[in-house]
Parts: sequence; C-alpha cells; structure tokens
Amino acid sequence: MSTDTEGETEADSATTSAVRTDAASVLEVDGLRKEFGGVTALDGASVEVREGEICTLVGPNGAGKTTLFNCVMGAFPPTAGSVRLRGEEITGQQTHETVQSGLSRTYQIPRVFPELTVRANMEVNQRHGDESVLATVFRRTDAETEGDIDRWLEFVGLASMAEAEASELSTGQQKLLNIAAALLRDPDVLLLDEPTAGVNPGLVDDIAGMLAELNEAGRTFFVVEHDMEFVRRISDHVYVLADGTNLVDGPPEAALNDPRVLESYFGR
Amino acid sequence: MATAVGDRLTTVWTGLDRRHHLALAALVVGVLAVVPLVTNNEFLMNTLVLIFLFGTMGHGWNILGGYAGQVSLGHAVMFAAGAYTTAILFVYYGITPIVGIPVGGVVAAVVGLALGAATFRLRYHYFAMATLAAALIVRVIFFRWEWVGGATGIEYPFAELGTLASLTFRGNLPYYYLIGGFALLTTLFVYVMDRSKLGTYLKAINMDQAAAESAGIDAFRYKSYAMGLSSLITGVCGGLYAQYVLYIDPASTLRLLRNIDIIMVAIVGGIGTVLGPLIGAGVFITVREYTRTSLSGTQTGLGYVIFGVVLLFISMYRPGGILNRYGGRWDD
Amino acid sequence: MLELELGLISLGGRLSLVPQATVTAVVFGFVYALVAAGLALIWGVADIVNFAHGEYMLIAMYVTAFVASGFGGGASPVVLVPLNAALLFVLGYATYRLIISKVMDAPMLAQIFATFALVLIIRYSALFVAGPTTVSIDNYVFEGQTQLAGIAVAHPEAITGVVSVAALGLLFAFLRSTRTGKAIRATAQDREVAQVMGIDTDHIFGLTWGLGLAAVGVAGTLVATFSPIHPELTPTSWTLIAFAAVALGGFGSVLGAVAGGILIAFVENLGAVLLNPSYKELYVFVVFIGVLLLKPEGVLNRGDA
Repeated sequence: MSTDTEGETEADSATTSAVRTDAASVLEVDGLRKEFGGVTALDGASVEVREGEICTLVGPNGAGKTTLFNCVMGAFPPTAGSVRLRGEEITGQQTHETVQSGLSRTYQIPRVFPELTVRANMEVNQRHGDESVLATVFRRTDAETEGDIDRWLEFVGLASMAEAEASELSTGQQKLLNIAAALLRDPDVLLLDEPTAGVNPGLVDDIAGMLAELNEAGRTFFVVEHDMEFVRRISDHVYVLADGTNLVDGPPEAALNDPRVLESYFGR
Repeated sequence: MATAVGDRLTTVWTGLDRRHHLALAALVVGVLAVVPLVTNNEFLMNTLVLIFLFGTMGHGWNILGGYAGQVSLGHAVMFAAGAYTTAILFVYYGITPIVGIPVGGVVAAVVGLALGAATFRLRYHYFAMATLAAALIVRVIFFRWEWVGGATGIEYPFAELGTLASLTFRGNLPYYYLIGGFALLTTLFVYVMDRSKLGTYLKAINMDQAAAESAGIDAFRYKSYAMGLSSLITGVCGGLYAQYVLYIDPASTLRLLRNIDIIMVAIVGGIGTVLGPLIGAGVFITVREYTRTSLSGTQTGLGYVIFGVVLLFISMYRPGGILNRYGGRWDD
Repeated sequence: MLELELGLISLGGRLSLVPQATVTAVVFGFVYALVAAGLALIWGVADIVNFAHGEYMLIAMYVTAFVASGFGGGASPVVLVPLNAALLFVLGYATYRLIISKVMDAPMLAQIFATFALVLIIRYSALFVAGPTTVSIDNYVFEGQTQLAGIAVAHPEAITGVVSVAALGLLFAFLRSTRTGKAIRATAQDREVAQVMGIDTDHIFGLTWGLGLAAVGVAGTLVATFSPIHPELTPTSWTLIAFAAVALGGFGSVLGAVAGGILIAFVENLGAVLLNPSYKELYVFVVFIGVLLLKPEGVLNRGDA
C-alpha cells in the first residue's frame, strides 16, 4: 500500500523523492547537529519518515547514523536542529519522554534485562501512565496488556520462552525480544538499529518477513542497517549519510547505486 | 556451608508457588506468635524484637538499595527523622505516638524524597557518598541543636510509662507484637511489591537504566517511589525504636554504624530479595547481641570485625548474600 | 534553633584571627592534600573508591602512638615516617592483591561493600586493641612553637606541613619520571590499551594501592604527633576530608586532589574563625555535598547509549 515506489526505481534520479509516498510525515529530523567536545558527529542531517513506510538510513562507519538515532531518542540533546514527531517538537526530550511521545527503538547489540523473565522484560515496556505508588505496587499488568504481550511474543516466536530468564536467550532471540517489547508500546515509528547485525541468515529472512508483515499492516519503521541486500529488500526510501550530513536520498536502488554513495563507501 | 544452605533455601523458595509461600509464612508467623507464651526469657525476647525491628529496616533499605540499586549510606537520617518526630510530638506536645509514629514515617518520607530529588542524578558510589555526607551533616546539626535536646537527646517521661496514650509498655511482650506486627506487614508489602509493576520496573532500572529508559520508564519517578516507601518504613522503625528504648539521642540514632547496621542486615540476607532482610537480621542481630552481652568493654567492637569479614567475603564471593539473587555470576 | 553565636565576637575580632587561621590552613592544607592525593590516585587509576582510606591512616597513627609510648617517646619520626610509609605500601599492595582484585569487575555494589568491610575490620580491630578512648602522644620529639608576627606555628604542625610537601613532591616525581610511574599513568588512561602494551595491570593496580596508602602512612605518622586519635571519629573525618578534596579537584585527578585538599583546609579554618568554630567539620561536609550536587561532570547518572 505504501510502497508505490516499487518497480519505478530505475526511472528516477537518485536525489528526488518524487515517487515517494505522499503520506504525511511522521518523524521529521531537521538540520541535526551534534558535537562531542571538538568532534562533529552530526553536521546538519535531515530525515523525513513518512506514515506507513520503511525508511532506511545507511552510510559508512562514522557517518553519524547511531548518533542520529541517539539524538532522536533523547539519549543526549543535539547541539542544534530539531526533531518533530507528528508535527510536535520533541527535540531535547529525555529518552523516556521520547518513548512516551511515540518513538521506540531497538539496539544493535540487544539489551535485555538478563535476570528478568521474557514476560517481565515485556512488562517493562508496558505503557506507563501517571500511576500512584500504590497502583504500581498492587498491580502487575492489566488484562489487555497481558493479551498484547502474548500476541507479540507469539508474533516473534518467543511464546514458548515466556517464563525463561532473558539471559537464557540467544543473541538473535534477544533481538526478537527487543522488537516485540518495542511493538508492545505501539509506537508511531519504530527505530531499528541494525536489526540483522550478529544474526544468522535464517533469522535475517524471518526478520525481513516480520517487517514486511508489520509494514503491510501500516506500521512505520526507521532502520539503520549495514547489510545492503537487506536494505534493498525492505526499504521504501533510503537516506545515505556521510560525514554527519545527507549525501543522497531516494528509492533504494537509485540511492544505493548513486556514484557519490559508492565513492563515500569505497573512495577514501 | 552458609552458601550451600542459602542456595538450597533459594531453590526451595523459588520452586514453591504462591499458596505454599503463604502457608509457609503462616507457619513461621504462627510459631513466632506463640513464642512469648512459652518463654519469657528477656534475652530471647529482646533479640527477637530487635530482629523484627532491624529486619523491617532492612526491608526499607532493600527497596531502595536492593531493588532500585541506589546504595544509601544515609538511612540513619530517615530513621532519626521518624524517631525524633515521634518523641518530640509526644514529649513536647503530648501527641500520642499512635499518631506520632505514622507522622514520623511521613516526615521521614518527605526528608527521603528531598534527599532523593537532590541525589538521584548521581551514579553509584557518588550517590552513596552524597547520602553519607548528608547523614554526617544531620548528625553534626542534631548534636548541637538545643531544641531537639542536643547531645543529650530526648527522654520519655517516666510517669507516663505504661499508659495507652503513650504507647509505651513495662515489659517486652507488647513490643514484641507491635514491632513484630509491623515487620509482618512490611514483609507482606515487599512480597507483593516484588512481583508488581514497581518491583519489575525497579529491577529493570537497577540492571540497565538506559535500557529501562528506552522502554519509556521514568527512572527518576520510580526511584522516588522507592525512596518514599523506603524512607516511610525506615521512619516508622525509628518511631517504634523510640517507643522501645524510651530515649533517643544523636549518638544512638545518627551514629555512622546505624547506617551500616541497616545495610548489613539487607546484604547478609540477600539484597533485592523478599526474605533476605529478615534472614540477615536473624543472623546479624543474634551475633551482635551475643557478642555484646558476652563480651564486654573494648571487645564490643569484635562483633563488627566479624561482620566486616562476613561482608568482605560476601562482596568477594557471594554478592547476592545468603539468598543469592545474582546466582553467583557478575551481571551488572 | 541552631545557635550560631555570631553576635558573640565582633566582626573585627573575628577578622583579626584570619592571619592565624590562614597559616593553620596552609599547614593542614598540605597534609590534607597528601591524604587526598592518595585517594585520588587509587580512584583515578584503579577506578575504585576506597571508603577505608581514613582507616588505613588510623593504622599509621596507632603504630606511631604505640612506638612513641612503647619506646619512651624516643623513636624518631625520621625513622617512623619511612617505616609507616613502607608498612602501608605493603598493606596497600596486599589489599589490592588479596581483596580488591577480586571485585574489580564486580558490580559497583560489591566494590562499595568490600571497602566498607575494610572500614569495619580495621576500625574495630583498632578499637579492640587500643580501646574506645582517645589516644594522644604527649611527649614527642617535636615540641614548642614559633611566634612570627603574632602568628603561632606549632612545631609538629609545621614539620607535618613541610614533610607532606616533600612526600607530595616525591609522589609526583615518581609518577612523572619513572618507568613504573609512566605505566601507572598509562593504565589510568586505558586499562585495555595498557594490557596490550604489555603492562601487568594487576601489578600496577597493586602498586597504585601501595602508593596511595603509603601517602596516608606518611600523613598518619605526622598527624599523630599532635592530634588525638579516636578509633571511630578520626578515620571518618579523614575519609570525608579526602572525599571532599577529591570531589573539589574533579574526581580522580591527583593534582586536582592536592588543590582540593588545600582548599578544604581553608574552608575549614576560615569557616571556624568567621562563622562558628564548633561547626568546623560541617563546613567540609557541606562543601563536599555541594560539589557533588553542583559539579556533576563525570558523576551524572545518564545512560551510556
């Protein structure tokens, strides 16, 4: 539905997004700068993620992809620039506020709570309201969330492991748990940081399948990825970042075959 | 050997379901409830009262230190807040401790929340140091603050002893049930909390705060919840302590060792576990009371040397305490 | 409420005490600096906070007191300073090898508890051996005082200041110029890189503990010659002074800790003169907690993602 760029890739120039879905933007990153001490990690990068698409961010090592993710999520505030979610300014929010606003993320190296069960790991991600102390002490989850937890564990294939400690999961399974946990929050955009890194080829296929299925159902993704094959397979729109700033963006084939991109990867 | 027993206990406990937990707890409570009917041995009764009191304080510390992972070295401040509030309300204003103790708990919670608001940004040992410094500051101030009795402290009027309004008693027995009752209540509370949203969130924050925040958890909020509950319990313990010893001064309520006693109880038993503080208090208080009464003079410190060695071995080889939540491996 | 006694002495009267307080602050500042440098060295290199720092100092103090009384006050500090430095060096090295090395990769919780356990063990062993009363050395080799323009400088304190500066000089010379000193600094910067370079980091950490505590050994010996020793109060107050100095100096920087130590001595002594002498230690604690709360670089609790 959202993938109206399919099959048109060759026809278009790499820098236009004319063929891109004309759905509304969900996430707008505008002129994001981040300096650490004297080092500029991000130098005015801009990204627009539209409703219902899988938008991918690629670029050579040190291009600033993970820094961009971290800034968007509020792990640290940007030096300049803005981040808007559904038109609302979220720049400089702390991580938990960003998540509550509607962004969720996963990590390149999965981060689970090792001594909690898989189910409890999911519970950590349930929606947190303005509950009083007593409400949090005398309640575990509500029935609806309970059902969602089962559903998402089922979806990523971890239902049978629900009562196991997360430390018993393989790296791949931990990645799936991270994805399921993020989905539990029903985010406006789900940010995936290298979903295929450290994952065996079979699971890469599974993950690609899951993303396609979720995307089909209308979910929006913003993905950082190294595996170009995977990028070509899943993406509706690709941004290429180099030296902390935008190099090229467009449909996957066009963007990835752009000479400037090839140069940025291999030219130096 | 102790560790083998601990592992066994952990396995047995986690292997049981909720109904069995309650049945087992009912059995222990039942036995403890009839102890005073069988014996009125002063030493035994006093030791048990102190075990209840310190076990409860251990629970209080454990909610913050064990579950939320914020190692406070300043819980004597909240203890003193509860003790002084209770004593001042009664001795100065004639307000019964039946009201005074809960008020003391609330005052302690407010103090704790203020301390937390200032210090939760600090990481690990910086938090520990800041709370220690806070405890030392309060100690210096109380020693010289005339209104709260300065170094002399506050004594309960002897004439009132035994009246209902004073909530003081001539024998150990009523204290046994009063403090034991609060210990039971607190234990049930922590048991419920352990499996609640708050328990899960605190454990998550403790294991990986950044990841917990990425799950949308407001760490500051839940740490504050933990601090509030922890301080409330500690403050009520302070009030109960004042009722029990009928005399409070900065030297006893705010001494550096008070901070350590509380922690020791929580650690020896097993941090971040429901029963750890009670088991820790059982071991710690028994040894402490024994060394205190059987050894005299300069030897009184010997109990602490023993506990220093115990603490050292726990930190080196069994960081989870007797009930080992860490399962013997290092995952921070 | 809190009686601050501000009205009792006129401002002019209090100001007239400032020169004396300044001299005292300088003298004490050097020994604070030495103790703080020892803490900062361990902190900065091995990344461990030694809560038992004051307790190790207590050991040196008791040894000094014991030798001074046991040998009729005849044992010279000229012998005792290096002796205690050596003793504490060995204790420091052993402490690292036997205890701290076991918790280096452990959660922070276990590290805090390990050095706290040392607090209990050393302090209450001392109390057991020496008794719960204050010990002071009354006839010692240094006595008397010198008057300079109306400012009195007690000889033991003056010598303490001078020897502390000398010890600090030695420590810095060692860290700057020797091979081992360079290895220590390399390890402080990056433990893994140091290992790759072939440095036995475990040995280096041991040496760091040895050096850090040797500094305390020197300081303890000197301070014992004029200051009463209490097994519970003395170590707490010295640990806190060292913490405050290290905090002021920016955590883990040895040079910063030296500056912090001197600053703390000024806070304490000028506070005592200008505000109220009975709250001397309070000023140190307040500065300490103030620095912790207001200068949070490196101590902030924020995710490392």
